[in-house]
Amino acid sequence: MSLPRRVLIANRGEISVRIARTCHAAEVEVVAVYTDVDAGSPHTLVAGRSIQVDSYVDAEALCEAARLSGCDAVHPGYGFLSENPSFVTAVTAAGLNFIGPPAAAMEVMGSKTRARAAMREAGVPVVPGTEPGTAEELMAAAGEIGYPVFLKAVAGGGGKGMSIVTDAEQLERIYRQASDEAAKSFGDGAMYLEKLVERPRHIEIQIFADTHGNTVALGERECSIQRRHQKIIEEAPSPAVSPELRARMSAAAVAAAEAVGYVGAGTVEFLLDTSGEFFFLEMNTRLQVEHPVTEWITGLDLVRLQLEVAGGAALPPEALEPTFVGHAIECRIYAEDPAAGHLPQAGRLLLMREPSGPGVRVDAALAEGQQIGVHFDPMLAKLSCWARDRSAAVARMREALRRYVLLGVQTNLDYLQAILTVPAFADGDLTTAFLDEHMADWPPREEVAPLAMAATVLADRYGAGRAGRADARATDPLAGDPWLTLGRFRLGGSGEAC
Amino acid sequence: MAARTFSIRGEEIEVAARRNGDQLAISMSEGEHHEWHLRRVGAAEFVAREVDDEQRTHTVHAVRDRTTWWVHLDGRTYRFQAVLERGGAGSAAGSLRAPIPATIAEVLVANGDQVEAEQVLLVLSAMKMQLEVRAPHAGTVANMHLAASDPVDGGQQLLTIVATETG
Repeated sequence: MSLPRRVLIANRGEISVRIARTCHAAEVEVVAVYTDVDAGSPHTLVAGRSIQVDSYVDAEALCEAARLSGCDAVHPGYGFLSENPSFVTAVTAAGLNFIGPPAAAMEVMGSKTRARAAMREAGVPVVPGTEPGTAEELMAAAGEIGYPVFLKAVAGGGGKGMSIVTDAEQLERIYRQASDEAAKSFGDGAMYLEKLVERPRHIEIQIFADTHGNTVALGERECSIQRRHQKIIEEAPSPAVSPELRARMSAAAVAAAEAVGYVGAGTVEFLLDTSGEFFFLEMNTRLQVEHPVTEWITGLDLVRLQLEVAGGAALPPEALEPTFVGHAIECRIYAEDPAAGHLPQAGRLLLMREPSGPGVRVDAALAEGQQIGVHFDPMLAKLSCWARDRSAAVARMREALRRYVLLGVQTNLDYLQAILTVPAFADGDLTTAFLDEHMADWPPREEVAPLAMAATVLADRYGAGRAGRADARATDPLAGDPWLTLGRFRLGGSGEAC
Repeated sequence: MAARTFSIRGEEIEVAARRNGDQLAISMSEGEHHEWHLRRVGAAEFVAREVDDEQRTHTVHAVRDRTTWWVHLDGRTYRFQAVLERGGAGSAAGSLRAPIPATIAEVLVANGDQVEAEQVLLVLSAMKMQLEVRAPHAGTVANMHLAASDPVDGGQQLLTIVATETG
């Protein structure tokens, strides 16, 4: 089989590491890229070879790095330039193989209006909505669709550039500001309306297409647990999807991909309403963050398939006739403070213990001592668990979250555990409003465990246990801080400092 | 036991704990007392066995950085902040600081402006978040030298609201 020989991974963090691992296993060489703030970070160490670039979104520099390092293919990961058709064109023009769909397919799916038109034509159900228009045109159309509606920026995405509008007066009031913001953020102020599907679930279908005319659906993922359209927990299969519904949604997703001449891994996102009706939301023309849950239940390595398809191979039998075994859940661990409006958090990762065991997978690119900054997305890690059925997978996830130790930066680990204990979650009773409905009062008032308080006297100053006390003192940012140079806790009359 | 005061989740607690070799003890304000037998099992990692009838063991991780103590116990992460002496130079009344490193997205006021309590003064942008900085009380804007797209560090002073004289 012909696979790419050497792949430039045009990304960072956990996804760069995850791609590199499959490449290593397939004996495909990898070259990572990094910017100055990422020098020496885990993804560069895993790759073995890395090149500095000014930015992860500088297409020219990335192509140049690929050429200089003798790569024959580029994997874009997700985010950054992964859905940018001009990057595909630049990579191809440089004589390199882009591991992803053709630019033309990306272009159609990258424009909400063009995608909707293409989907309507292909017979894929779309949410009732309007063409882009002025405030007056949209107000007239909204009367027909019926409130509530979404006011969306044509060029927006990922939850940005959209607001819920409940009546005409509000639409008139916010149109100007929303359009100005869209013009500023995305360079295009065009706005349109979409019917708001009430109490929807977010269900997406993983698809895969090769260059031999095969397009397959690899099952669904439910991603209803989201906050402001940022996914937090994903699972496969969905507790709401019957085999019959799966077949219908899969057929729609395959039709969507075929309509744009898709090649490679892609995800067709749908909203599923309470009556079992579903509507096309958008197609992500790349590997998805939450792809591990599909890998768990299908036993497939989606990055491996990407390499094979990019090398010109047909999809293997196990992808053409996928079988789904058991249940998988993924939790996204963010550097944020869920008790303070989910404010992103920065700091130094002082201590890390990742959970492991049967059916437990961690996708991360973390190292103790690493500075967690605010330059990039606040996602620290993805924890995914598999078990024979949903309740066993949830139980495994709860235990894995309990054993995940990340100290030095505030994370959402406690918040995730709380979500998993909500009875509606155990019942699989999910909607995209789940967190608003069930988690608004978090955190509960709880006593601090006496041992947790007592353990403060055990805390080593960061670095002291490793580098030796003298070294630690030399590099300790606190050297000279009078509060701490007084010594450790002088707590016990007869006790000693630790 | 002498005590150290921490704040956790905005509440202040007094911790009077003591380590003596492999013994760890804490006395609570209501007269409650706990003791554990300790074993260090790794960097920043201990197994603590409570010295009582049940003899339950717990794995506990503890580490500190500057004036923050981090503890992981039974699946919970605790962040204890040392409560320092008040009235230092950094706590000038009415001065507003950036909660995290960010860039200035919008500046809505200028020096000398009269503002109401809760009025939005600045909008910060960090990652995918827009954060509004609101006036803590009515007053006059001062020490404001920032413009849109300026980067600010976490804790950096943004501006000052000089309280309006009342009465």
